Amino acid sequence: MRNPMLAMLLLVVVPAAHAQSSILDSFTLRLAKTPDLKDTEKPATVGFQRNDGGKNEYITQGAFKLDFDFGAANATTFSPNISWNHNTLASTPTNNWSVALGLKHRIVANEKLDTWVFSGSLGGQEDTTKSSTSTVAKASLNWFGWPEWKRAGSLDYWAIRPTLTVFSKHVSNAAPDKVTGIVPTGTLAGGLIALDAQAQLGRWTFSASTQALRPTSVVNGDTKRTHHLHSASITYQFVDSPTTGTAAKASQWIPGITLMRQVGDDPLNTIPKAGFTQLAFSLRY
Amino acid sequence: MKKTKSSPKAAAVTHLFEGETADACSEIRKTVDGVLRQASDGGISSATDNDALLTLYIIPDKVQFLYIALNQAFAHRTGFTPFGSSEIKKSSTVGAVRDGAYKHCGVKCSHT
Repeated sequence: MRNPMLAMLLLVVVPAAHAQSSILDSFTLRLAKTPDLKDTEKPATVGFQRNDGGKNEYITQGAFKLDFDFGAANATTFSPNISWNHNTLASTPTNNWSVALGLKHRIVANEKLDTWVFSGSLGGQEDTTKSSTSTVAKASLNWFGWPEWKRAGSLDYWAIRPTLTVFSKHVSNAAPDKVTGIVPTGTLAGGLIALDAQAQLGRWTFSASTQALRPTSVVNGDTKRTHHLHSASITYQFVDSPTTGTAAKASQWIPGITLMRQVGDDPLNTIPKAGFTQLAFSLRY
Repeated sequence: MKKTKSSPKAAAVTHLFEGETADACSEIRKTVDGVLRQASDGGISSATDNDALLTLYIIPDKVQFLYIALNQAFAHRTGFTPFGSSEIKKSSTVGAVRDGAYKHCGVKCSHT
């Protein structure tokens, strides 16, 4: 996805793909930044980025996901998906593709909708920049409960969502390290704990996330250490959220602009250690 | 009866559905409102105006789980087809959810 305009074109094409027929009522096709397991809204982005070294580059990232509901109360969803992450930063360029089969089961714990979400996925990743391929198996647990706050009479709210994940990533093919000559193949396995926070005040949305990844085994040439990844963003949407109306006219696309700061690394999702600030146009459904 | 007529809340719980499906519609609406009332800590009742929003009372990212609670509440009904996981959006109104319940139960109702 070297051409940002192609990503923009995809954003335009998606509304038609979201339409559901009577035969395919259980299917939903959607575009998001990542086909993640957290059920939080992450719009696809195409944008301009300025890294800590002062170099300006482009970034495009997004995902297509197909959801198929089944089981008792439709509480289980099968989600095949494909995603990309293209970053032209000269110091750490990335051009990643991934395909996965996801399975998610939701349990409403009580009538106030405190909900547990169990997720699992099996997929493959290809890093075309490093000529590496890998397979990933993950199992996660999300709790949609404490803490949260809601102001009646508006959309204003804030909430924190914890996530626990265990994972195993097997790298089967990779280019040798230019310095050591070691081929970084093998299995990266371990656990990850993350906290995602979001607050919405009118047209403004504040998001922050922090995660710690602790491997129990690593690929050849790597060392066992805890990896941290922190990010914070502020989004201003150009139109009000659809707060009134019937279901037929309530759904709409909401354009906005997002300023994000991210620091750290995540070997599970092939995010190299870096710090950058990103200004991006976003489109949320 | 005079006391009932002068009470807006009492008047609101008398659903004036018309036609052969009136009883079924009234029952479905009562079930939907019951789920919403519990999910919103009592913020939504059968007296809630149709234009009131789910988002007035429920954390937006929890609205996505309402479909499970509704599917469980209607599971006993013959011919009920479950809501999908992304069918109820945070911008959905109480009225829209009620209409969805009538549709999933295969019942046509004279009003929301």
